[in-house]
Amino acid sequence: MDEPTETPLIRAQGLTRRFDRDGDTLTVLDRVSLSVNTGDMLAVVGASGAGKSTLLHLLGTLDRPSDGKVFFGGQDLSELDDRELADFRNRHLGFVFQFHHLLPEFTAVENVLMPAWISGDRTRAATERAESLLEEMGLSARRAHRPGELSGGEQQRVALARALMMEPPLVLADEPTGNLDSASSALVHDLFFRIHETRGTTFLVVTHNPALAQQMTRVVTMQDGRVLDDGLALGGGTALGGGLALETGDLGPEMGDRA
Amino acid sequence: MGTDVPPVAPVRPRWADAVILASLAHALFWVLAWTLPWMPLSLGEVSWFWKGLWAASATGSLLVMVPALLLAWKHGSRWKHGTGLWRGFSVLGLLHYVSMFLCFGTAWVAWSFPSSPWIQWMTGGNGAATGGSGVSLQLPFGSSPQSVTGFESDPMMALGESFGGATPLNLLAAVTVGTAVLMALLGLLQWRTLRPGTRWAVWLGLDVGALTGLGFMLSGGPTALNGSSRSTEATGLAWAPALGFWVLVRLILRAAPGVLRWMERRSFRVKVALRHLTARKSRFLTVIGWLSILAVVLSSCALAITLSVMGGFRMDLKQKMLGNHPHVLVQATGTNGTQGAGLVPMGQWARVVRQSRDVQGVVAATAFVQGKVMVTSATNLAGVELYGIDAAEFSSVVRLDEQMESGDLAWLDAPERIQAPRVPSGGTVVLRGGITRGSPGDAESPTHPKAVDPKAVDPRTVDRAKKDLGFKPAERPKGSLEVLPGIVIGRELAFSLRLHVGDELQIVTPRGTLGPQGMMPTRSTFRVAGVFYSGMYEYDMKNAYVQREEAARLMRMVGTVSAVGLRVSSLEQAPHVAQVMARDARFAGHRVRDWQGQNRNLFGALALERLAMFVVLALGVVVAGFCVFATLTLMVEEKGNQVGVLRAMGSSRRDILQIFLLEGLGVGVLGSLLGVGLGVGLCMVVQRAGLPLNPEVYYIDSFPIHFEPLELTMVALVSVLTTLVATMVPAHIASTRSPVDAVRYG
Repeated sequence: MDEPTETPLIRAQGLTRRFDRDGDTLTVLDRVSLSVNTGDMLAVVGASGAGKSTLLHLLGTLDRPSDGKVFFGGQDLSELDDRELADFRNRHLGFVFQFHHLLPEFTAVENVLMPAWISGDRTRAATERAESLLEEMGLSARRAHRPGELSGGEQQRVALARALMMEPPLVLADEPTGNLDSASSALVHDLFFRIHETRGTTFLVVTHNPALAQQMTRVVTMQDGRVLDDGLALGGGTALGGGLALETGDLGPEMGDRA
Repeated sequence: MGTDVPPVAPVRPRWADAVILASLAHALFWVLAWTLPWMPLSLGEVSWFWKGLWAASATGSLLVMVPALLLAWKHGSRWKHGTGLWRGFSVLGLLHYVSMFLCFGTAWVAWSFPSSPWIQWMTGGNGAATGGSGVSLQLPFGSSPQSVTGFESDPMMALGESFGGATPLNLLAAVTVGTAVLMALLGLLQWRTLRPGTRWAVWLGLDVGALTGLGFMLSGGPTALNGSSRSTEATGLAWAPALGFWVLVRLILRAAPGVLRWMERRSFRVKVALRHLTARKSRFLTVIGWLSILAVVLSSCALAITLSVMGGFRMDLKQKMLGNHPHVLVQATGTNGTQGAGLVPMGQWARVVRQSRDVQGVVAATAFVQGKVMVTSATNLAGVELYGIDAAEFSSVVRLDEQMESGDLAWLDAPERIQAPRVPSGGTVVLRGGITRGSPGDAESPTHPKAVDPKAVDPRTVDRAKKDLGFKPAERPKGSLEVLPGIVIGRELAFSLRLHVGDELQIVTPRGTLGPQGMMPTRSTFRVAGVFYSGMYEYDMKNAYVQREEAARLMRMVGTVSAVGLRVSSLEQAPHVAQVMARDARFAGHRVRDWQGQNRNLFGALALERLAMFVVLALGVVVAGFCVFATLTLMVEEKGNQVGVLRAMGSSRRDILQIFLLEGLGVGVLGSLLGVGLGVGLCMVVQRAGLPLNPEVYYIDSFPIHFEPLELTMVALVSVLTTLVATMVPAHIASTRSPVDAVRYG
């Protein structure tokens, strides 16, 4: 936005998502516009039900908007059909979910390899790449373990390696450390920044974690389906502080329900 | 298979493992010994070498096992799989030895002092019956036939067949066997606690043993080295398919990991599908998954068996029909006086026969006269289909000579040679099959069954012999028979008219002469030259054969024939040959029909019956399809959240659809292959061991089996397709699930 000449990596334009339940219309996301530039480290914060995850799903083309469009590098994603979208996700996006969603039937290295396999790449080079990614995550000793044999932090790091397998320009993370203790979380956060530095990967992270949000270069705050505030975390950190403290306050019981 | 379980801490010493293995090996050895016909266990018949070896091994195992069991009793409580087991093993083992050696001791006493009171008591007073031959050791479960024959001839441990009941000796034998069985069961329960290496070695031993055994059997290994009874032979025969099935299953299990790895490399869809199927799932899904595979197995197995048995009946019918029917029939067409166009007697048959032989595929040709006549004997009368044939030529087209039961087909051409079978007064005539036939007095009493080779006794023969015994040919001094033209009739007709070879009968034809009192039927006397048995009741009752010229005279068609019959090199060629001949100008004015055309109605009905059966049993496959449907629906429920992450990683809806379709396909392919394999295996066992049928009812003595590869392929295909259809809905549901719902929660 600061430099209009540059094409943003991904741009949402008037994104709206409504759900129809028994005749009632629930608007989860209301005309949200957002541009993410290459190299951004963007955190999306806000109360539960503010539409953060829905925004991430729409940007990641896992869901189709009721209204509005998503452009990736100038390409209107609503024009793509299911197969093209699948291919787009495979090549350009990496996902990290709160519940890591590793495939339990596969070993760690097989899970990391899965995006390559889906793209049809079954070469030796892909395997080597997956192994080097695991090494980067500090998990080379765990390569042959199934997800069930890994700790939560290890699982999330495998999921991160998997997201990076196809070297996507953008990684979308939905509360990546929401399920982890602080030590494991810190480890994952460090990895985010390390990857950002070494590869220039853009991160869009939905988070409740104030520590992470404060480290990010940009923080978007959402409320009731709209963008409340969009600014640099370093500058607006104190302004955000109160709200975030409130968030973390009711974080505990919510986690208990889900786990 | 045995190595996939995490190893248990080796708290138990190896020698204790060996005790467990010994209990299993011991049971396996005896199962083999009692079911394999050639195991050298019949001590009576084999050399002292075997007896010595056997005694040595019994004593040797006593010397090793008893101390081992006592040690296990003492230390077993400290081992992980514990006290109860070893107490059980010790008690059972000691009981086993005590009762076994008491049995041997008794046998030894019986040998040395056959009439001692000990023997009397042990055998419940029956000991004297054996005289000097010894004591019976009747094992209370089933029996051990070859021990029977073996021990019987040796006084060391004679086994009479008449010893049953709760005599002390039998109780001892029961204890011996029972303890061995219980020990084996205890050992089997401990299988998982054995060291993985040990289990692997045992599996390897079993596999190598089975493979060797199968090779031994396939190379025509000995079916009976010792004198064996029919039951051992049957079990021995059943061993080959059973062993084959075992080897096949093991081979599949051994090859499975490699094959799965190879398949996984093809595509990530196959990879995910295979992992879903093979990986650990929730208990309920695992159970229902196996149940659905079982449902597919059973339904396709039932379908394969039914079709094979029905195919067998059809094949049997076909063979019997063609045994008395030419493959292709050439008849003359034309106008016949007032009757209009139709079949007419064939004048130029000699030319037709000659020219037919030149047609490619035709092996033999013969001309014959055919017509309906009445046959009367002293006691009864019947309408028959009379064929006038050239005996030698006709047999080259239809194998009538091979079906002759008594008499001789060649006697048709040489009626002066017809003679009744000689029955010396008071003597016995051994019929085919070894049943003796003699004077009426001893005919009813069963003859010595031991003297009869059981293999050769065909139920049909017994049945036939019984029929034969009901009547005897009139005693006529040899050589004084009046020379009459000969006739060959079927067995059933002979029975119904009470006729024997050498007897006279009269043929009455409707085409008579005009006499003073109107139409007089022609009446001619013939002499039975032979009786045939085709196996088709219809033919055995209705067909009769005389010389061609005789028949032509009776039918008033001298110089002509009714038809020319052809034999072709293979049955399948018959329609083709018939077509070629029908188009051939040389056979203009003739109608050419193949055997299928002649029996179109019958074979049409059979085909319809089979189709109906297929459809009805295919409903079973449909039911199995519902099981697969349920399984896949559950699978989609359980693995549904994976759909989201797979979609996020870049799989399309199509990929997801294919993954779940592949899972259904896997269940279908595995189930149908196992099912068809099981069906074929069972059919092979039935085929080889022979499942007897009542020949009075079915006119066939055992279940006929015929495999039609095309049908079996159809069965497999129907199963696979049904499961695939059943998978479509769950797969579609999975593919249309929103990835967002799936990834939101763990």
